[in-house]
Amino acid sequence: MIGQLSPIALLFYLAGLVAIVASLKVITQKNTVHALLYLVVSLLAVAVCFYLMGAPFAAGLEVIVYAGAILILFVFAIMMFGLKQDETRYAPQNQGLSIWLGPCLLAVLLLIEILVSLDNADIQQQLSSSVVTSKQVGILLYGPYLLAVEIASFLLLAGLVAGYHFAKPDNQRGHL
Amino acid sequence: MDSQTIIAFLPQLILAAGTVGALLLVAWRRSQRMIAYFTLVTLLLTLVSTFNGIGQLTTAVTQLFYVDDYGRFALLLILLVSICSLFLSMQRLSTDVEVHDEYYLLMLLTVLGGSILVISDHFASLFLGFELLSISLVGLVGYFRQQQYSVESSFKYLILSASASSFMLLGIAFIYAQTGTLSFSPSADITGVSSLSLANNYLLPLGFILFFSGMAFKLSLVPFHYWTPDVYQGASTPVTLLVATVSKCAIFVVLLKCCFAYYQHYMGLHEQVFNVIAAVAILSMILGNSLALKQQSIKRILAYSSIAHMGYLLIIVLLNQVHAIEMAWQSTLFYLTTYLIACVSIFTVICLSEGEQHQDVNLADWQGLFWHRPLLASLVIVAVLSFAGIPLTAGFIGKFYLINLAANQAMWPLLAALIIGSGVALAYYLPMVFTLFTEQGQSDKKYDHLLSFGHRSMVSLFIVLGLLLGIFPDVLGHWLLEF
Repeated sequence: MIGQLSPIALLFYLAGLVAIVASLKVITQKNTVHALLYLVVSLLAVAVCFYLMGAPFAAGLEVIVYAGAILILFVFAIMMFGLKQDETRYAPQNQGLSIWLGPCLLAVLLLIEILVSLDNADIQQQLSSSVVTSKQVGILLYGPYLLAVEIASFLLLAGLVAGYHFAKPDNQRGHL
Repeated sequence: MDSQTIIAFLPQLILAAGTVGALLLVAWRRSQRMIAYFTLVTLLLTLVSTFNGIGQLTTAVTQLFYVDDYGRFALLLILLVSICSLFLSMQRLSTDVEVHDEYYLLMLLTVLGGSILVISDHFASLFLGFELLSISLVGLVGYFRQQQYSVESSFKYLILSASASSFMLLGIAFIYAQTGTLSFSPSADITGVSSLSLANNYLLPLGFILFFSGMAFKLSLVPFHYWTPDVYQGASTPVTLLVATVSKCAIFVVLLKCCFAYYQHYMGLHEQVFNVIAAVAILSMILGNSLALKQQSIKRILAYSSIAHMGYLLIIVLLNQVHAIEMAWQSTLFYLTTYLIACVSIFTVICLSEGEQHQDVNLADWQGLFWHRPLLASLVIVAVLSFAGIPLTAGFIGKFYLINLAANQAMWPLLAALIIGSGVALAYYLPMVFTLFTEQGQSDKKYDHLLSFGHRSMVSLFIVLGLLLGIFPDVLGHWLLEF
């Protein structure tokens, strides 16, 4: 059955498998920072999936926005929480670099996939024939879907206001 | 956009502009009174523009929205309820030193989300409206952080509504994979859609069931109902009113729109899908009512009864005959109107009989209410009888519409469940009424703050409305027929 799949489909399913394995590791890890390593790999794997489906723009956004910006925010937030006792008591101690092995292995797998797809002329031709460019995405977003973009901005506003309210310091007497 | 489109879309535009205006107002000057009245004016303007729109042409606003009279009427209901909720919140918020700007902002955003849902004609706008509604409700449910269950209930709501939306997204993805379009009413020129047959196609029904389960979470139908009592109890009463009415009304209307479009384009409902939805409906009717039996907290009783009511309404979703659509819409809107009136009535009373600490109101707190405060008690009686579907109240006519539809389509199991459910429901609705008349109500319990004129007139208005729709249902029925 695997033999019948085209090379692109094979790579796609492999990347999907990496995403699933990495996501499972995210929720089973005990240490938050270690879990985040797997989360990065999971997001990168999804980006590879996007790329193999002919959406390099979405893949780029996934890497820049999720794996880049949001993950860094996440790491900073977790480092600044100051879990103190909880962290030292419940999380396993750092055992050298062995914790790096799993995420690295999965990430290398993704790198190999990308290299294979870049190296193979057949795959490149198939990918470039059905590509969705950033221009097309932009025209759609600011054409027929303009109102959706506006509503999404209200959605973010709602999240911001709710988040601000929950994070507000408790005692504000006299400060309105 | 031409002028007709803009007029059709005006309610949403006013709400959006009002939200931005409220933000600017906060930046300019923070005052409890000003922000509250600004919100009220925004909602009233939206109400006027929606009311004006009823009876006008149906208009497609880009491919995302389709404004018709059903949507407009549902928006009218949402706005009326949120004005009532605002009125109830104002009393509570004004006693605080802190200026609650976020509360009003989140409320406007909730209404905006609901208004987007009721006119959406596309899965993208549906999802955005759905999320806007949930996120702002999460903020509102946990708004009063010092209250006992507030953070817990908002957390429950957040996590469960996020998982519901992910199920829904997966369902939408499956539907998209099969039909190639995200629009509810795909135009015929998209190849492959018209030739799509239901036979041997399992992804489309599977996607539909996943989509339905996301919606069912918000409607708190039975396998997805666990959050309902906790959230109802944990949120402050005006917010519970919003969760019980605005969210359910908007979600149900959009679910119905989506289902009817689906039936029209894909030649009815898959048998398995029909069975799944019917099972959910029957379970909701019976379990919802049975779980309410032993409850003491009034909000919990209402939560379980809302599960049953949404189960009754699901009968309409199962009508997959295209010719019955007008009748189905009429029944839905009538039932929703009566349900919302009863909800507003009973939550108003809960709000007015809460103590200073806003603790949960139990059945015992209402003992002998009729002798202390006859006006409030009469409102409770009308509302509870309307929930139960006793003749001469609005709820009876609503239920009559449903029974009529179910009997016409020969859906006997559903009809049986509806009748059994209503019978079980009497076992907790009637004790609620009896409690009001018990003489041995704790005499030391004094309701010292008297009702203001505004509250008195609101209470009287809802007593009249509940009875009027029960005695002269044609007032609303004829109007709905013209849509």
